[in-house]
Amino acid sequence: MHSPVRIAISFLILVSLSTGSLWAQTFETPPYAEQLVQQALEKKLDQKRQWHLLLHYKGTWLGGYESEADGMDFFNAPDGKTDPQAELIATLRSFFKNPETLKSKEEHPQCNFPARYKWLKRELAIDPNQLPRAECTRMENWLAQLEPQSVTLIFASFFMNNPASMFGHTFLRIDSESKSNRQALSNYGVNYAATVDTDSMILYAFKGLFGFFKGEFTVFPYYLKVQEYSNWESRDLWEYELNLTPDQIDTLMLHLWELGGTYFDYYYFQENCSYHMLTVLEVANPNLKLSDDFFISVQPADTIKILAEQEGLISKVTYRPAILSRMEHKTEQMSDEEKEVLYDLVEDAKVLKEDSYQQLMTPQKALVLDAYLDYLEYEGLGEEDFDPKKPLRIPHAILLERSKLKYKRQDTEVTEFSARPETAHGTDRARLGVGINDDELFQEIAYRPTLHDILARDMGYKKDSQFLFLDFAGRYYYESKRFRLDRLRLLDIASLTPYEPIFKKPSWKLNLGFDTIRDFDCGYCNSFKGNAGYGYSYKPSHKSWYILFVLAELEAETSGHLEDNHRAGGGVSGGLFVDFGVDWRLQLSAEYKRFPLGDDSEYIRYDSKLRYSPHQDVDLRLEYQRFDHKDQGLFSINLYY
Amino acid sequence: MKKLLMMGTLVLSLVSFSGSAFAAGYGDAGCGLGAIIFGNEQGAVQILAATTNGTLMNQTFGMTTGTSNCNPAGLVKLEKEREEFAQKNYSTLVKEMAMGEGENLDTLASLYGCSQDSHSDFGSMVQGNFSNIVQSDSTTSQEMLSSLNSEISSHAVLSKSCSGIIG
Repeated sequence: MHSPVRIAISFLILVSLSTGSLWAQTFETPPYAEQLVQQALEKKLDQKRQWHLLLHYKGTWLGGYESEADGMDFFNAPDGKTDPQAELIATLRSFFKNPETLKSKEEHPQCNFPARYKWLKRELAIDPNQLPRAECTRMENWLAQLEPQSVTLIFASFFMNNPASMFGHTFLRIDSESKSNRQALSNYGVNYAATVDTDSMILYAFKGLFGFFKGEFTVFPYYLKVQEYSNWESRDLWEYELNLTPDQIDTLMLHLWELGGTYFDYYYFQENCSYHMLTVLEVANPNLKLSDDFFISVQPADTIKILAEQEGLISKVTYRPAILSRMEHKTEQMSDEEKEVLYDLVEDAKVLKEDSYQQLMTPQKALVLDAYLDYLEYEGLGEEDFDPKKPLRIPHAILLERSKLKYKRQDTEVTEFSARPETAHGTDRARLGVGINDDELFQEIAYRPTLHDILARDMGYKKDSQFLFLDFAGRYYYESKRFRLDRLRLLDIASLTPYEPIFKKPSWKLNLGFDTIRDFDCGYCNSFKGNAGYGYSYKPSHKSWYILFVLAELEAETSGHLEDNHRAGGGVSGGLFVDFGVDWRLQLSAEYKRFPLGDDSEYIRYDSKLRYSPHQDVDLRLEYQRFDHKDQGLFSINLYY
Repeated sequence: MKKLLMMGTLVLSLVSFSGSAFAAGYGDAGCGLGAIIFGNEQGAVQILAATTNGTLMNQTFGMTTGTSNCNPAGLVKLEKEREEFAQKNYSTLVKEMAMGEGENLDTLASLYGCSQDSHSDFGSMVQGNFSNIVQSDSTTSQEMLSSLNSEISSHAVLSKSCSGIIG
């Protein structure tokens, strides 16, 4: 079917192809582009730190490079992910792309990679007049809307009764000068987070640990994050204003724009939110060396520490108390009588009609109602199902009652309910100890990567709680000349939350791992053990120097040294922690366990432990434990880093 | 319907006041919140979605597009911002209204264009007129805003110090 039409079409295709390749040829080699490439190679720009930062290259074990960015649009060269030089050459050439050849909605490389363009322009003294002029309207609008004037790093601390939240979270806030009169709330935040695509807890953990989530940068109004963290989850926020020059802020913004178009594989421990906040700040100021120090894991609090160590980088720190911290601050100002009214209100709003409330003076009524409203707001936000017929999540009657007082309360500055993360001890801990039991002397060596134990100095951590992961200890026994695994706790969590009449939170603990059987002599034999406890704690007020606790416990363990290879049962534990300032802490506790299943046995255990911290990252401990009739003493030095 | 007509008139009048700026395209004034949140489609909230407009280079930032529903006077934009802000912070806002003061309330006052020194008056006014502004458990944030708007317009001081009211 050699119709003339077909021939004509073939001819047209041929012509367009040849002109296309002709054009491609001229595009590939504008002399100025090649001149810049030569210049860049002579200056070895591909080996410069800033180039590696801009492209997120990291050295590999084999001596090469690989970019942490995983979206391939981030690179101009096909092998740009692993070849900094090829990417440099391709990037320079891409800036010469004819804007008229862009497809609809396609952006010019000058607009997609403005931070690279800015840096190369400066390094090579590029004459913009010899480059095609690209219109970067979208980016310019974006910048105009953000109006960046300064940059603040936000740290979200832990929340109530959840020790896992002690890891914290960090994100950036772009502060705009013209919005400063509208309060910080109307600025914008920049978040890096995993795009979670599963509801399964197990998949979540697995994907998070091994990099199966896509991590992406997003921009949102700051008030959304304040709602989320301060009000919904009730976590205190710490705002660290950073000292960056306007030029550095400009670079930061341009680089964020570049990152908006790509993604990174998200690793819960390493390439996480905090890590990428650091890499972004390094691009802004390459003299900062922030992300190089991390090897095994990056934790939000550690990143704040690193920033705090950079001289003059943090210009101002602001504490934004969470909703329950603000409420607690109000209850602390109340008399016992007023507290009773508040507790009764939480039980039943009808108390508003009763004398106990009515007899209060207006300022006292306002104080009680304001605390009550904090409570109602927090509870209302937590409600999962939203009723469109009742959009108001705080009962209208209570709001009306408060407004009718026509009284504005000037609150005092809220006391800090959490400490700045940089005052906290390091998250890794190494320990050297020497001890003695009834039979012999021993030496202990221990390490755990994460995070905080209940006896440790608790600045920057949730008080009276514990989160340990892979807590390992081995002991060398001098007399019997043996090295034994003492314990390997896979997970050990405890949360002692003082019981109060409003939220009535319980205390609990959970641990799982290998341990040594200590209540009878089996030659330091090991068992695999799971234990859970549930109960209550008492502490008169937030600032009290002691806390009492009592927990009902369930326990099961398996070992070849037990009859039927296992025992299971439960018991009760209780005791107290006493603080002498922040540097000293004493634990006195006892527990009784009975195992009716498997190896029928029971024991009583006593613990007395004293911890002294001469330094933020060092503590000394003296421990005495008694398991039934077997004693053990231990002195240890613990180093945090 | 009446509200829609009012809006329409407002937009038209703005166009006539600032025809040249409009011809240059939306967004030239650098408008902010509302524009960014709504993108170029009114009502399409895209903050959290962080979606794109299908560009080949996938900019995932929620703030996209060249058009941004704003004008040099910033009024339409401010209204959008207020709606978004009020909806997302509704619980906190009504609480602070009843209390007569608070950070969210100050932010809302700014979104009405109220000068800094009138924020205290703003707080007293919303507290004093709370039952008019938030009428019942079924009051939506939109309804709250429109009542608030009329309260401001009829307020001797605030009607002058708040430049962003409608009507």
